[in-house]
Amino acid sequence: MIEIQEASVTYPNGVHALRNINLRVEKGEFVFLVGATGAGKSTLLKLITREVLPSHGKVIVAGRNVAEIPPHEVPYYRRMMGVVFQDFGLLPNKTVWENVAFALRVLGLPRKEIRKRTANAIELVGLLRRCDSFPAQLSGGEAQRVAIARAIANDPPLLLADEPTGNLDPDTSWDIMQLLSHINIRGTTVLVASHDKYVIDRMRKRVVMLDRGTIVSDVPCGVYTHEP
Amino acid sequence: MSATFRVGCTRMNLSHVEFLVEEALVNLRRNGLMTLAAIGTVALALAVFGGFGLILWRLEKLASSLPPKFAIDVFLKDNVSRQRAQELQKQFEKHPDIAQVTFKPKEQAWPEFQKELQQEITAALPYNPLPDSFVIQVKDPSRTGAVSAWLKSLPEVDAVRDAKEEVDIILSVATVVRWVGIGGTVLLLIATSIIIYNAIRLTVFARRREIRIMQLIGATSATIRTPFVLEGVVQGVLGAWIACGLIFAVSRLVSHFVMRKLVFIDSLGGSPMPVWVVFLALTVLGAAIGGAVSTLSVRKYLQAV
Repeated sequence: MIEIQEASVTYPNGVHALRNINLRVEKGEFVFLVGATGAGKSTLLKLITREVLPSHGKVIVAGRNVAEIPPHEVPYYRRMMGVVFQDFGLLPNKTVWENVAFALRVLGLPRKEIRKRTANAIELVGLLRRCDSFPAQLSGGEAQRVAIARAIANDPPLLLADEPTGNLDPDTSWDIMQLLSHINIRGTTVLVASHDKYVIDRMRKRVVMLDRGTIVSDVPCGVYTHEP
Repeated sequence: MSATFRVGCTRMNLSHVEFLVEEALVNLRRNGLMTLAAIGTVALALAVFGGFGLILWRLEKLASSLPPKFAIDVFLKDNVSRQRAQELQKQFEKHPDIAQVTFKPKEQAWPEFQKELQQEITAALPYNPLPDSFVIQVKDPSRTGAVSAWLKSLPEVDAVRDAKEEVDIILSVATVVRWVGIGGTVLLLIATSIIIYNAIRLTVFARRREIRIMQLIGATSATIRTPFVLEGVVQGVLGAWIACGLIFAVSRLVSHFVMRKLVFIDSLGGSPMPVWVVFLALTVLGAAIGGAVSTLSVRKYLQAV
């Protein structure tokens, strides 16, 4: 599903965010990317979303070299992945229903199809009763559930989450991670950048640890062992 | 997997257009304060621009309506026969600088002269002392001097009376008004565009995160840009309509309170600019500037990811 070969990223200000990264993620896997702030977790996710391009090396997603995708095709490439942010990234002037439906409307799907998929996604995250609420009226956990519903509404094969529990209390974090796990069981490949030790240790999934732009360990059924 | 990339690629159908228009309208409504601030700025900027244009139009019309009122009077010598006068009229009419020639025989001039002066004064005169004359309108007021000189050189002409000095002053004032107007209009248009650009850019800046989110969920640049551009056009048009209202309200007040005391300005001619010209010009200008600056503002953030 994802293959990163000898990829390095150097930002224009000279910061080496990633150095010679090699990572292979199979279809249907659930992978935690862990490490301290500045370790390169978010940059690695941005390589996959094509928000940044590798200075060296290759990033291959679903058989395509990401660097070779022409700019006008990037939106269509991104439709194969859902993205969840630490700060939820909801559109503030849209209701829960509209936020989820928006991801489908930009694809130009028929209204009937949009209604069906939106309802399914919101039901999956358990928020059908909050459909008409605006993001400002939701708790952190609810807002993140909406973000996840939006990310999976299009049923993408890949889900990327950047610190999805960073703003949430431990119980809510656990609920969100269970939800991501449930989505993973349905067949979606899930990559989660996190340093939520409590949740990672309980999940017992593959853990890839980054430190100063390099992968220092890659353990199946791992725990967050390294405290920076 | 590449087929997935293409989902919706060619679907710019009616429901998608409906979606883009709906997005623009919902955003305008829900970003109410920002929208109002942008519309208010557009309205004030266009009102100043439109008001300036209207004053210039008025001055220009006034200036160009004055010179034709200054005709050239050509007085013939007493010994010129009527037949010769008719020949002269034909000669004048063929002159390339002359627009209109009116022959005024002394029999017609005399009662008019008597009417203008006190009948008692003129009644004392035993005969009609006025000569036959022509009233000549030139095509281009700036040629008044040349035409007068030519007329004076004719042997049948006794005297020529023109208002060359007055015409020259009016023409130079009109030229200054025109150039100041063109320069001022261009400068004001630039200033208006910058003010509107800043107002609309702020509304886009406040929503720059939305643009990133839309990009990450796979919205094409056109899908992201179109609602913003439509919002800019709507803000521009609404601002223009408010500006029209302001301009007409102020111009009515001005004509009610000021023009009443300066009646001579109206009597000097120059029709007011038709209402629909101002309305149409400002609407088109508002829509064009609104759409253009929105496109520019969004482009910056579209390039970011």
